[in-house]
Amino acid sequence: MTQIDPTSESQPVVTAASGLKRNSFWPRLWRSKVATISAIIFLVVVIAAITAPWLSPADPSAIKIIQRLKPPGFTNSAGTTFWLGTDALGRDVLSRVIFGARVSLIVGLSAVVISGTIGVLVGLLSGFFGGLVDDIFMRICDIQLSFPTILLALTIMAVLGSGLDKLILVLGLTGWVQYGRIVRSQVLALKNDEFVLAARATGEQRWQIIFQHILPNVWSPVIVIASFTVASNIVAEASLSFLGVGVPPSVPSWGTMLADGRQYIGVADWLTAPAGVAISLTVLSINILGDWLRDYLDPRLKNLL
Amino acid sequence: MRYIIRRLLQSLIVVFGVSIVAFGMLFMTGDPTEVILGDATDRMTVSQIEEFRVKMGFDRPWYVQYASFVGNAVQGDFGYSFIRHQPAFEVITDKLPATIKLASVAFILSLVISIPLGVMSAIRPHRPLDNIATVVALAGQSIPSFWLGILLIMFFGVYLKWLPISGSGSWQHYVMPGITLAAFPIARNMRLTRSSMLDFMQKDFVRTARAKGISENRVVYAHVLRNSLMPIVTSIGLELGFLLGGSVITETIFGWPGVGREIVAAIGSKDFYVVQAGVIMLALIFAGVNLLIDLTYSLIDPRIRFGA
Repeated sequence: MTQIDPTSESQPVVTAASGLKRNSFWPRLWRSKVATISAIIFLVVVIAAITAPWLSPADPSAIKIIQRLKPPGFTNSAGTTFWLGTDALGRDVLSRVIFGARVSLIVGLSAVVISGTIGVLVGLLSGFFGGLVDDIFMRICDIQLSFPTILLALTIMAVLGSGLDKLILVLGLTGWVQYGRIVRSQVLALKNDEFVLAARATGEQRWQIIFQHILPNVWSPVIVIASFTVASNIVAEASLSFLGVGVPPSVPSWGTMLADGRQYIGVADWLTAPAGVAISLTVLSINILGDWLRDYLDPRLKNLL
Repeated sequence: MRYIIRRLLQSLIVVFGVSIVAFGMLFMTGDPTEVILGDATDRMTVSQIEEFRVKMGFDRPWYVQYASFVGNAVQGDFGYSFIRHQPAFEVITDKLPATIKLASVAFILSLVISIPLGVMSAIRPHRPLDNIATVVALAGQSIPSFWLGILLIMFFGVYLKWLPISGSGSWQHYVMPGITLAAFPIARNMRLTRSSMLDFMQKDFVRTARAKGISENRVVYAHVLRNSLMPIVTSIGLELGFLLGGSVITETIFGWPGVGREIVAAIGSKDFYVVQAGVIMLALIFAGVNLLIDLTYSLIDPRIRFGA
């Protein structure tokens, strides 16, 4: 995953020209083999998540102790084959991996919407108004950055208790700083540009200037950060679930599958690989797509993101 | 001087923020008594719960509680762990050395491996070695540490039996947790070194150095590399945050007796004073080291001091 350096505030990048290239999106994506493969992998994960109830061969939560810890390829007396084996409670590993995609994507995407909205708003207001508003927002950023994110999320989840909605909220509320800082630095560069001054001169309201003139020009970095954050949210969800404070144990999640499988290393090694491969491939493909998207939207962002 | 004062003030605000978050933790569900007692409330009468509330001082207004929390914390009193039968602060300070040792090993590993790899990649970009290194780096950034840890345990611990799978003591115990914790920083620093070196290779002063007839080795190591290391140096503070945060997972996987594992165990046993003390301790170390790094920069680089 490409880590975004929140300390860098130098060289704001203005991306007015990015709209011109939009027509060449698909051809350009197609030309990059790695990006195309990543896009296909990501698409497969999305489709698996959407069609999970139809795609999975078995109920991911159906417990059958009699067929516990069976190796991949095991066929039970009813003729059902468990292609990736069964876990300690006799549940079908393949079905759990497929349903796990749901949890990962729901958490990854929903949390991005929350953190993106907060971060963009904070960045816009902070950069545009400056002064006390800016000072307060930036100090809040400092405080948040002084906590390693996973630690902050872990602490809050520990008190609130596990749950999908809580997890989304916690990741959303802890992940906005990167957006805030980048958008702020962009706004600082843009707010004295001629098109903004012209809008002011014509007597437009401040909110119109912020949302109609400045906002469209800060989308590129926001989209790029969002793509990387989907990946880091998926890892965070899995990490927290692995530690037992993410989603409840009954919900099939890649993180809980790894935590369960860990207890049977040497006994049932097939338990960890499917979830591990699924997380790694998903995160890798999103990161590669994020890299590609950054270079496509604006190569100058490379120094920032 | 103004920079130093400003930076110190900033750290104070951060410490204040950390204290608010750690204190607020107990109030997130509305009632700290419930958080501390957990399921035990089911077995207690209303008057017993009320007695406990008064005993712990939870009946006082929140700002009084906050003041006494800060007052106690400054003296190293974070409450008493009923599980460990020990003050929470001691529980954490006992485990701190192990965490710092592991984080240091991971930190050194990350630099020793990533920088030479980054340099090798940048010297011959888009050649096989560079391509392999780039793929490995991307994979390193994408494999979550808990799965990497499990894979290492499976291969080197269970199958090959080369390394101990948990605990601490000998140097062998450091190998797998160290690599697990360092994997992400290694990948990230490698990519940073590579891209930063490629950037600097294009600069005028490098062309000048070459034009002067300086040997290629000297150009690469004395001119390009020295300048390229700046982004890595500036991200050390962030990396530390990652190592401290990552310790929670790595220590849990490998049964490493550090603060991270203690926090996770304390969460499991609802031992919230220990969680609070652990979180505060890690956040303060993080803030303190970042302050030190920034102040050192300001001494080295006058541009920072004068706000350029």
